[in-house]
Amino acid sequence: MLKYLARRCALFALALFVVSVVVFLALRVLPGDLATIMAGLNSPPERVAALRAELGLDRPLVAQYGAWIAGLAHGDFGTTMLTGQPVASVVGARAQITFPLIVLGLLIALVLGVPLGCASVMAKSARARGLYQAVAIVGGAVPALWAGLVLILLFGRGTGLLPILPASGFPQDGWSSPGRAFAALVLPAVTVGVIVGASIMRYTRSALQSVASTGAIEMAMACGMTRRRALTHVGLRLAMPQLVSVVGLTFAEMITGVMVIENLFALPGIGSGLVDDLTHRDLIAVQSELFMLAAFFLVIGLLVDLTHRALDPRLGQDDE
Amino acid sequence: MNDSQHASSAAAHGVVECGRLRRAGVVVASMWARGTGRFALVTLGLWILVSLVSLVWTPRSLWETNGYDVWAKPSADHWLGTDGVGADVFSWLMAGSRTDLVIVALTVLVALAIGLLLVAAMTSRAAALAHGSVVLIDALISIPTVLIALMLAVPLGASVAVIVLACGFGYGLNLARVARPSAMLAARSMYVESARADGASAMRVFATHIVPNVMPTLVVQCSLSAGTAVLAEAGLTYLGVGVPSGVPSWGHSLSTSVRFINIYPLTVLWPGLLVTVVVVALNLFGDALREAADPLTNRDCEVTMGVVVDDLRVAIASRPILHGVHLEVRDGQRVGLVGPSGSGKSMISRAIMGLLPPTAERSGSIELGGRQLVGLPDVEMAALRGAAVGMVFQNPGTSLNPLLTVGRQIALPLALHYELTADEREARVRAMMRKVGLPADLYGRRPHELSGGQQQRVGIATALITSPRLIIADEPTTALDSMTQRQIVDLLVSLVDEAGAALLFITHDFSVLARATRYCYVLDAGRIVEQGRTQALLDDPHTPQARTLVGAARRLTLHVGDSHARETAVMRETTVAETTTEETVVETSTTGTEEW
Repeated sequence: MLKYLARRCALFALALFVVSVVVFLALRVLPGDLATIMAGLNSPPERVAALRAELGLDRPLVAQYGAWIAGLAHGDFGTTMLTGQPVASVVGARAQITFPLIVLGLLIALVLGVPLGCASVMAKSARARGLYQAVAIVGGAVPALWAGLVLILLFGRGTGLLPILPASGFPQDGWSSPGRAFAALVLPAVTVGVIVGASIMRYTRSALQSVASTGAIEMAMACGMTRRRALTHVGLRLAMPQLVSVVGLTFAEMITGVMVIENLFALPGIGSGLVDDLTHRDLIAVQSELFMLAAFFLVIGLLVDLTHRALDPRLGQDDE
Repeated sequence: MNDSQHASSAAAHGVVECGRLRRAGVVVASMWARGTGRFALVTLGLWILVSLVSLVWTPRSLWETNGYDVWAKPSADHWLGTDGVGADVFSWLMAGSRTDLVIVALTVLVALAIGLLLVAAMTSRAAALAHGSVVLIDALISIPTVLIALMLAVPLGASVAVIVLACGFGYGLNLARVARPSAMLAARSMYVESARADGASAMRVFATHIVPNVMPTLVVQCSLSAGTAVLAEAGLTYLGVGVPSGVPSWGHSLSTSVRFINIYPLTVLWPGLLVTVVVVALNLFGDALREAADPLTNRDCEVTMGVVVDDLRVAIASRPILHGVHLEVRDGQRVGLVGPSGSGKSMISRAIMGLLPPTAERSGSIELGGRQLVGLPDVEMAALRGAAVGMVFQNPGTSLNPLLTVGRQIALPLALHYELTADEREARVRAMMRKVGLPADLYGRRPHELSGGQQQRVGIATALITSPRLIIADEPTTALDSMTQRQIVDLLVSLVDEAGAALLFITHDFSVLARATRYCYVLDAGRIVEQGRTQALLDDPHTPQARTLVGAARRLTLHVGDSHARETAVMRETTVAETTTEETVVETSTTGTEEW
């Protein structure tokens, strides 16, 4: 296990490095140069030059990269152009919205998707099976934007049929009034949860079917378990490593939905912040934010892999 | 090798001879046969048609605006009403379908190109390239598509290229990862080895052997990616980094209606519905394609204790598998069921045990100790399984729960059916382990730490721990090497005899049958074609099916005939079971005189 841990962490570090280089270069492979774009195409040349000097954009690429990485290591993510605030604190405030949203959405998705996936494997009549399949397919085909809109139309205050939940915005004082903060996240989280839940339902179903094909479920039944018990106690437990991987994958898919949903529900989270910064051409902030987001997903991937390994004793034997 | 053995050895290698994809016409026809496939094909056909038509005609011009007629309801002039500037919603959606079609097609092409490139890298013989590409994929795949799109939008601005490149790149990585197992399997197969030995270039090997093997997976994934691309277009356009405003697209229609949701909530209905329907069609297309290309997605088997099976008919999803099977295993008898792969042998065992999948229809009669099993609810069957009937499976490597130790696995039937203290259970399990010849120190080990023969001994112990009256052994030795096979068969037979239980031994190998049974049924294509005393059948098979099986057994093994006596002398020294096997062995080597 230790050897695997060491190797996986090395892989993580390598991936982190590659991502940082990719993000760094992507923002500099620009027609025209970074300073011009940031200052605006109609800016006087003195302003552009001043900006270039201020941000150190006239130094060689390697030096710029080094300075950036050194800054990251110290927690200095640069300052935003618009407000002059340090990027780190701005992102910190935004993260308090986005991360709970993601976690809540994922929980809803799991609560919806796993039982539905199990039920669809146990379904007896062709009609029941067709129904479950329809739910999974339609759930995965709905655009996040539309789903959010439908939910707003149903439950949002101001426009909805049943106006019980806030349809936009997040309380100014954040989580210090937890009730209102939570209420603001409900509709967005349900939107995310329903769409991701459809994915999880499909993945649960296919993981259970592949476990069933090994014969372990049959053997448990042969020992005397009912089909239902064998599926839930043995099948789900054995399918868990696969499901953990899947959760890791859906996390990455979720971010697209989350960005759209943050925009739709006017939540000032990381996603909408990124889009705003891009629109305002605050590319230094974008550089660090992009890197942070990507790093977040790499961390998730690392945790997922380690959990997967811990859950499946068969993987302990071979050298990955 | 005859056909059935060739098929089973290829299956054992896990490689399907490539290049045998069904022809496109056949695939489309079989997709059309299903309701969902038909829906998918019609919807996608309409999409392409509408896109083409929109090049030359739309009901109203796209640029026609009318400030007095905004947010109008559907009417003869405007089939879906108008939007915030009075433009015709239907026309914009029609034109948008063109944009989305192009985006999807380009994205899929880019994804395929990147995917195939990466597959080629992963299967190359240069180890650095192969490993490096896997690492690269793992590193890059966790970057969400939208982030890539945002980064690309900086130099490129909002454009179709951003969507195509960002999505294509992400899906390409995904394709490579999904295709990796089958690609690696193909790359290591015998066919590729011999092709390389013949001097074929890497490119040729890749094109003729690896690509056809991964193509089915890739095609299905592409159609799923196509659905995701449509959704991505909607989201990215809304975020301002996708299709530029002014170019019609479904994402554009969806996004503009968002701003006015308070005024006219129903405007969001049409674009969202359209996108959902198209994505559903694309997903169904992928599913139907996968099923049409490979009809053997479901394998089911049925099996039939002092048990009398009469006129058993089983159908899976309306496809008949067993056509009126009759067989009997009376108490104390050892009966064999033999037939080629796919004849339905395992079906019978699963029918008896109540292990048929929910999609199966079963009719006829299965009586266990006089009790009718057909129609019995699962709860009552579960009470019988593991207590009255025990089953030994073909693949202990995968049937045994990898999370349970040997001790807990063998104890499971005891725990499920009887009230015993933990100490009593452990005592019985250890006694059983001794009986089946498992070293005591394996009690706390897990299945993957055991050899194949040891795993199957665990399987036998589990099946026998509750002393059931009927034991069904479904190809218990097929997955083992021939030396271990003999040991396991002898062990099973001795334990069954000692307990006075009945044994239904299922196999495709006549030689093993001779060792294990005295009477057998020959099954072919869901029907019993011949039955009789095992030795008599071996000496003189009547039907062509039986002849084929017997012939195969003779050619391959040494069990049958006069070398038998020499073999058993050797086996006596190496057999681990305590009870003697000489009696059993002697009985099966004499011809036709023993009591049946």
